[in-house]
Amino acid sequence: MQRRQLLQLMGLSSLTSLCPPAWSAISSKANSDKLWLVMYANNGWDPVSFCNPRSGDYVTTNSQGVSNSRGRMSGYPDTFIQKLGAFEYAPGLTPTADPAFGRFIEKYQQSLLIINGVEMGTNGHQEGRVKAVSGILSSVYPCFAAYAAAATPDAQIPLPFLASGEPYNNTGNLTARIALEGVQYVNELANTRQFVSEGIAAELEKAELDNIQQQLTDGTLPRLQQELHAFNDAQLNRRQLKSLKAKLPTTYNADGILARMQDICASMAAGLTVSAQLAIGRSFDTHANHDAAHANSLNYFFNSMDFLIQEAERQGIRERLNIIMLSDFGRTPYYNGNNGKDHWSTGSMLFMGPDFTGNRMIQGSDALVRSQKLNMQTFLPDDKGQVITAEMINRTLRTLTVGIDSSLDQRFVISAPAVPALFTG
Amino acid sequence: MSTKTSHRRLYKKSLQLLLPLLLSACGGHESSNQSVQNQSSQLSINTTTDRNTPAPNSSITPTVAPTITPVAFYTTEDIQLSSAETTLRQASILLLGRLPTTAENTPIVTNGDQGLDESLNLLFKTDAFYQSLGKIYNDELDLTLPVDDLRLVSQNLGINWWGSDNAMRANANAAIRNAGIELVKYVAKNDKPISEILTADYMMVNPYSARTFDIYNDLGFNTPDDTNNWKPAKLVKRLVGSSYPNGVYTPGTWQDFTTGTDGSFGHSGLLTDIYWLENYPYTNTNLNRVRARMVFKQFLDFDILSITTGTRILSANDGDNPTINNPNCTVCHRILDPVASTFLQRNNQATYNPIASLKRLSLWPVGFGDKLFPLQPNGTQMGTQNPLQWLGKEMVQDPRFLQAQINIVYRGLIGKDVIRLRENMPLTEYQAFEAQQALFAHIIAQMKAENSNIKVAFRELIKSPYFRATGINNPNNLEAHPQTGSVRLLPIGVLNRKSYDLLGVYWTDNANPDLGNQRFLRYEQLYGVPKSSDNGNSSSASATNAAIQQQFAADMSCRLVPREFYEKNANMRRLLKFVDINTAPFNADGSANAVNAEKIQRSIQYLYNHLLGIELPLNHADIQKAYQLWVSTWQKGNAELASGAAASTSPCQLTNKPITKEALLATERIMDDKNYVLRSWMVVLDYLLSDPRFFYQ
Repeated sequence: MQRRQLLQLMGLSSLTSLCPPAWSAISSKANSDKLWLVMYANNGWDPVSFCNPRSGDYVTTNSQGVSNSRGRMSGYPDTFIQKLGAFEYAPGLTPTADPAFGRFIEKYQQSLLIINGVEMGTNGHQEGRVKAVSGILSSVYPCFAAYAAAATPDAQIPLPFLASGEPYNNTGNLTARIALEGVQYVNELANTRQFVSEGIAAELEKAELDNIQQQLTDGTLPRLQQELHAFNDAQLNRRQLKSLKAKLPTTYNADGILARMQDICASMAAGLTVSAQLAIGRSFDTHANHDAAHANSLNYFFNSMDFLIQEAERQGIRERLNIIMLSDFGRTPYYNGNNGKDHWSTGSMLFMGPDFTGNRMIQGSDALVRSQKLNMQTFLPDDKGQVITAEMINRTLRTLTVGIDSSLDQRFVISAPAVPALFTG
Repeated sequence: MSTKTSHRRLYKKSLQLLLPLLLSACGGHESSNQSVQNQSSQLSINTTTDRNTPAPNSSITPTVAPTITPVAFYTTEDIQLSSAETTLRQASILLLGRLPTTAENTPIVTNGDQGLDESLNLLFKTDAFYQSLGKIYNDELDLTLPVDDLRLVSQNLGINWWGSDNAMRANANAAIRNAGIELVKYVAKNDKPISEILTADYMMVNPYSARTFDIYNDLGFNTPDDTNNWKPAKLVKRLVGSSYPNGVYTPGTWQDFTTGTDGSFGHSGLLTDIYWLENYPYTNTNLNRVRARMVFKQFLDFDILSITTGTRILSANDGDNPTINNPNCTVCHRILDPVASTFLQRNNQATYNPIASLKRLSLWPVGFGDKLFPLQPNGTQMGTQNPLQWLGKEMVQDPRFLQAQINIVYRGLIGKDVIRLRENMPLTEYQAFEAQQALFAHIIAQMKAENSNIKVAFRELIKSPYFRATGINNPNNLEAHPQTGSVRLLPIGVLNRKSYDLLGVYWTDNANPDLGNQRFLRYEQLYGVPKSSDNGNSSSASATNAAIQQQFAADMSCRLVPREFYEKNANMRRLLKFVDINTAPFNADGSANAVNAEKIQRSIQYLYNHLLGIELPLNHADIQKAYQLWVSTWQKGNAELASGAAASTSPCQLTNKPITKEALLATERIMDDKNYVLRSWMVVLDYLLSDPRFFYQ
């Protein structure tokens, strides 16, 4: 059975989960030179502590006009809130904390897009992280990074999607997911048949590929055909792994997360990888002692991001690299009895890269950090407008990768509208 | 009937099937049961084994299967099935990592397809089968998630009997970590109903965990250090009041479980498994909802997230007690929270507090589906049955439970998720779904007839077309067979065992200094075999997998060919049976040597059968292609030898005895390859070991 025949069969039957990775690219919209990185802040960050600042007390008024205060909203006074271009921000979590976010925003102001007030619709960690990276509360939808990898027209990308364990890395069988932790060992596998000359080894490889083709011709089971096609593509892709050696760092950073960032940049620079998803290991889940603990996590996150961007620069891929920074949801704009902050379904997402207009902030939350309806052209509050949701963000991201209403977009339907102006103004 | 009308009817039928299941998720599982039973009376699948004939010496006694009506596209006219012998070989390699023994083959040699039940039952008696069964379940239950191994027992349970012996402590922790999977294996091995994994009033302990729970002397272990010696045991006391003043461990006192208990830890199989509970800990914000979600997902194959796909965009911040009052939240929490409440007696460290209140303001009352667990006015349980014991008994009555067990086995054997009913399902896919449901209904009926033995699911699925199909006769019917036939990439551990059985050496054999265990572990990390629980959503083919497969083939060819020729008696060899180190297809004067050519071809023929399980005549195109590769390599190699481009010594040599590793005498070593025969065999062996049929089963 020929590949075209099999594709037709798959199209007719709409058995989408059966399509092997390489074929998916055939029907996708070309988007070859973009690279994507999703950076996940573990367990729910607090935008009030950096990119969506609030000072003063959290006061609500009920329908009878009775006010209720839940105390301070943040660890800093109003005078601590800084303004730079389009941004209002807290440079550090308290006036005495290391202002890592302040340094970051000053350095990357022109590249950075901040969307506040993104409604996640849940306060559960697992649910929040699934929704943040895929747009949908489902265990079968692919995460966006998988979509980004599937959008490449080049079916021969050998390590298309690199992922660490968290937050949620389902591929929907759109692409092949490779364990990020293994990249450093790939180089060992690049040259194995050293017991014969290159000429004889090449003849052996040709015989192997002919053998697979023969089995493809002889086979009739759709499932066997799929696996053989994928096996064949994988055998072809394997040859490209040799190019990684020249790009791998000679010295790895002692910090495991930073070392993995080096691997991601190396693999992207070698042309082996389109997208990656990486969790920042330090937890933002600060139900107690929020100010001190959250400051540590925020500082680590943005210092790491700075390292990553420098590494991307060094590897020559920064101009092509789109970065998305997100978390499960936000945290309460007030403190609990343990000086901690609990879960809050309104969060923020940060974007950088060639597909995002920098020095922009969309304020989708009100004074009490609740999602509010916005006009989707002006992005100003409008009762007839819409709330920005994780669904909307993810659907809009597809405009930059597989295209809206393409076969890949329709394969895993997100009903929220795509709003390209979110990213470009 | 027009296609449209037919389709509509099928959808109506699908809704009739789906609705009770959805209602069951909201509490109406009795009607769901009816649906499945109806299915079993209508549909089944065409197989060639007579299930009415009991298999002698079988650990499972087959009984009469329900009345069956073949589904149209699962007839033998439509698909080709592998022979009983091939089926057994495939099952054996997949589950045991080796070929069937003569004894295991005998029933099918004697009775053909009708002997398959008995042969499979023999496989099911091996330890290796239970290792695979444990692996398949562990893929679903994630009981190997990393936790702080040093902390698990000592800190969470306040126990330390090992002093400063870190090895003892590691074994003690591992014993608790492995207890859940050992329970699944114990239930299967002893032909107990699979429902016992949720209802067992005991847990599995080995000598180390027996010491941890101070019941070592009660259980009579003969081998005090054997980590594989597992026994069922009931915890009847707990350690209370341990402390670490100034870093020095001071044990508390052992106290019996008394008030509000059945006199024990209140065991209820995996629902009270310590490690499982610790994997999904209680927090002040999740209120056991993670545990509840995993209960539905792991034991009923019901993903609570599937309820709300695409529907919930409103804020979860606002409102008073939204999980009770906000309709956007209650759609899930009405189902989830009653089960979350059943865990309120188990804290984040998995300890048991039988007098804890089972009422929480933001949680729905303790229950399952439409049933409520009876409580006293103060919120504590009535009687000695705790809510998890109640939950376990309720869950195993739910028809989704047995179906979920079949789904687990299906994913483990076939490597794909079962076909799911979904919106806008095309007719052909629906038919494939319906056919699969028919098989499952048959298996459920068969399991119920055989004490709900999980091995029945293995047996029946292995005999089904999902495992056995090799081809389709009707090219117009391909759409109906999206999942027909098993194409399962062997995990690297199974590949290693298969290597030992077929090639005589493990890939991890340290005889090769370049391939120590550490390197193997790195490959294991890179070798992306999707877990069963990935539901087939991850591909098994990738560039890194391909590179590791090539590494395997190259490593083995390099190591094995000199080793084979070290054995002078060809009959004693494992692979190269009909040739010696000088067997070449041409004589020194360049003339063809037909005798040698046939010897090489017969060796290749043997390798096809031995390595790939394919019997081919000597003149088959595949053998001739491999032979041509041999000849071409030999000719090119000799040209390289003549020009000096290749050395006359082999890059792959044998200088030590294969088993004892003693250094060989210079005259015994296999180093020279002056006529390029060694390297020609390396290339052909590499070619055959690179065949996808070697890596997939």
